[in-house]
Amino acid sequence: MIELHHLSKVYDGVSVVDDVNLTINTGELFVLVGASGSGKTTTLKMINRLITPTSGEVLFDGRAASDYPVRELRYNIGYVLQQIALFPTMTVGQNIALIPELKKWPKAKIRSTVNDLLDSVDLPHMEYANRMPSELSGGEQQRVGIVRALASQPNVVLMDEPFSALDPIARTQLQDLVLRLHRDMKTTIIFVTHDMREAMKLGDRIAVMRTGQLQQVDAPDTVADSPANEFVASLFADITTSVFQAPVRELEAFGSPVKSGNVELDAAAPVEQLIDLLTTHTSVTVSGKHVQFDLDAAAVVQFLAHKSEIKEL
Amino acid sequence: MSDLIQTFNERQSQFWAALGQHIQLSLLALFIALLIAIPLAIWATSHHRFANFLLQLTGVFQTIPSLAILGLLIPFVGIGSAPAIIALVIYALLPIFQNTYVGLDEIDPSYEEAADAFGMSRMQKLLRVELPIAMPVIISGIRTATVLIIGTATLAALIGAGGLGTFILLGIDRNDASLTLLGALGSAILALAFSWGLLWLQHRKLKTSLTVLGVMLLGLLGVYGYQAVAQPPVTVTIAGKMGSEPEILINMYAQLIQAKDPKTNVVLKPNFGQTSFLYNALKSNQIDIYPEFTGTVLESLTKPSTADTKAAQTDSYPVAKRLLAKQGLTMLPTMKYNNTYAVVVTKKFAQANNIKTISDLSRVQSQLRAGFDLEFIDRQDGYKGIQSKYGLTMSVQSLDASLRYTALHQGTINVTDGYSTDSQLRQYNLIVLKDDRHLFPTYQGAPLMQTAFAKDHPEIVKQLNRLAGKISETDMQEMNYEVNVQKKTAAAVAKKYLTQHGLLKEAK
Repeated sequence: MIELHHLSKVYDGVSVVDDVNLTINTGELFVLVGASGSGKTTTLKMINRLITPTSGEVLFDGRAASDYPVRELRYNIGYVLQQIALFPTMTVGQNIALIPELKKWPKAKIRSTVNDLLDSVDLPHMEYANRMPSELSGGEQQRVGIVRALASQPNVVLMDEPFSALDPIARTQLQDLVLRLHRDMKTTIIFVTHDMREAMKLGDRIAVMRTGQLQQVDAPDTVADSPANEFVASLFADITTSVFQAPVRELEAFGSPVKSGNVELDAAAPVEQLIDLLTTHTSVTVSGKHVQFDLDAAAVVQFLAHKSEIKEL
Repeated sequence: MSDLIQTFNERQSQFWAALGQHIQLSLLALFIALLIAIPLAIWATSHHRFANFLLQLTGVFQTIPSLAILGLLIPFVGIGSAPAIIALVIYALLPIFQNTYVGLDEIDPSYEEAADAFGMSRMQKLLRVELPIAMPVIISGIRTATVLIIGTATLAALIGAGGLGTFILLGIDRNDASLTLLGALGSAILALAFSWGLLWLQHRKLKTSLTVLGVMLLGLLGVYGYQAVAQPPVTVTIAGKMGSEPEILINMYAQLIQAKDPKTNVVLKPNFGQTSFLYNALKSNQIDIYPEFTGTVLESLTKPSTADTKAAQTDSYPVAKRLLAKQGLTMLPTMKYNNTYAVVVTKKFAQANNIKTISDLSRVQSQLRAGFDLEFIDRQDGYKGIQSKYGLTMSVQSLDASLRYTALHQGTINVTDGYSTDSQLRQYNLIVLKDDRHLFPTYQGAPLMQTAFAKDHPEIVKQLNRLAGKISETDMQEMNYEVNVQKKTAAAVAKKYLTQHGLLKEAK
């Protein structure tokens, strides 16, 4: 169990984290979500003492983090970075073996752990263990990053926006991977993200932060169904509103120059009406006060793809 | 090109020895620079304010001309390898420090954060993360430093530290382009070889780099260790200035000393450098004996009064001896020859006009076409003196010292200046005109040593004194000719003279 007691961080008189109180249960996948500048990353780094709190404390099983020798504390806290930061001079295998080596595990045990872990994240060790990080794709690299954090079987793993630099496909795969690993290993994971969808998908519980303060801490469904305040509600507004209700004027970016002879549609009409028309016509001309453009089925698909990506804060 | 190969073949053993010395000197300087610059740079990465100061300081070091550094160091550490290595280290600091600092400082902070978060200690982080990442940049700094060191190390020859520079200096001194080229090419190839080696290392792992550096360091220490153990205790060290003449003389000294006592260990350091280096080396006991001229003593090593200068015009040796004695130095009695300025004509010209002295030139004044070296033209004891003391005027053109004998030989000019023991006098069959009005100062040679050394070694003094009053100008010309032109060794030429004049036999 990890407890954050009145945790605050002030930089040059500006409060970055403001009196945060939290309890994270053992084995929980806990997500801190907020926009940049909300204090979520600072909160995370105070847990493994990369940042020293201005006031308040972090307790591990009732004992203050500051009471532990700092290296011993960190040995038992895995860490996954947004920049991935696999050491470029070491092979994939050496990167994963690093922390077990620091902990002085026997060589054979390190080797088998590295191989098993690589295999378990679909990076067959025969093929990947001796490759350099630069030879891997971003998604593959972050898999190694996660495996590296898990290798020494820490009690807690901290993940600081680990997927925000990845493409949508790799991101989805890695989210599934984290869920699977968490289910199998039951490690406590504290996951920081600015992506509300990611938070909803991963978290056992999520904590919403804004300008250093906690807004709400609850299970994802509870946060969605009964947001604690208007700010939290606004985060879900777009998700709950169906994209099919959006006015077609929003598709302007996907439109093409007007050709004569198409069916016309008012710019304020909802997207579902557009889709209806496109079932019988190849192209529709949208007209509004200042806009006029053509849309076809491909434009609608692009719009939907875009919508499914932008649900970030 | 064929000259170069011939010179190389003739001097192969000397070349390899100089190359070895060069490598030894360069590597030692490089390792010392590494030991200073890398830890300093590591320290500086966490003390940014000092880093800027250190960068500027090492930068300033590099702007000091290397010759100036050598000169400035002599009063403190004397001559030989010590000042050379210090100067080389000073030069190598900037590239190593700068690259190590920049290499470490520019590491992506996320690697540092990861290393911290994984619980690495400061040392683990440095060795396992930071140094390996910065290694290519650090090695490229080491490469720059190595090339710089190997090039600059040629100057070490100036202060008696040996190396390939000896060939360059000797070549300049003897006007022998192949010798100079041999030294220059040797050091250039050496620099390229090291540069390539390090380039290869740049893309190897930290362990490989450290292993290679370690092996080189061990080898170097091995060589020094061997030299320390293997070198027998030195008893007498004799050095000489640049050129064939001092080299012949110090070989004579060695042979005379060993003729008396074969067990005496004599170490010769020919082509040791310029006057001031030898003088300082003698005073700081780094060498025991070197041949010096009375003229040089009065001009550069002592401060004679007006009366002294006047007295020296008739006989320079007693004055030089007395002034040196005040400094605790002893100059033994001089040899016969006077190595001073000479007015030179061809034998043919002298015979045709019956000219033996400089005064005789007045009879053919109108025919004279002189080629003098610029310095001679400008000196009171040069052409200016010829005009005032001998009342001679002639058509004069300035000629570089290296060209004048050829010009005279080819007939472009019919009078030139030179030194009375130059081997070219013998080579081109030239005549030195007698300085009948004593215009030129006397430069008589004799062994110079500390008075304390002379007192401790009366038998050596006795042996060296056998040369007093020996060796005429023609003898010296002949011997210089044998070394410079016929390429005989100085030792053989010295031995021939001593044997012919019974100086070795009598001693036994």
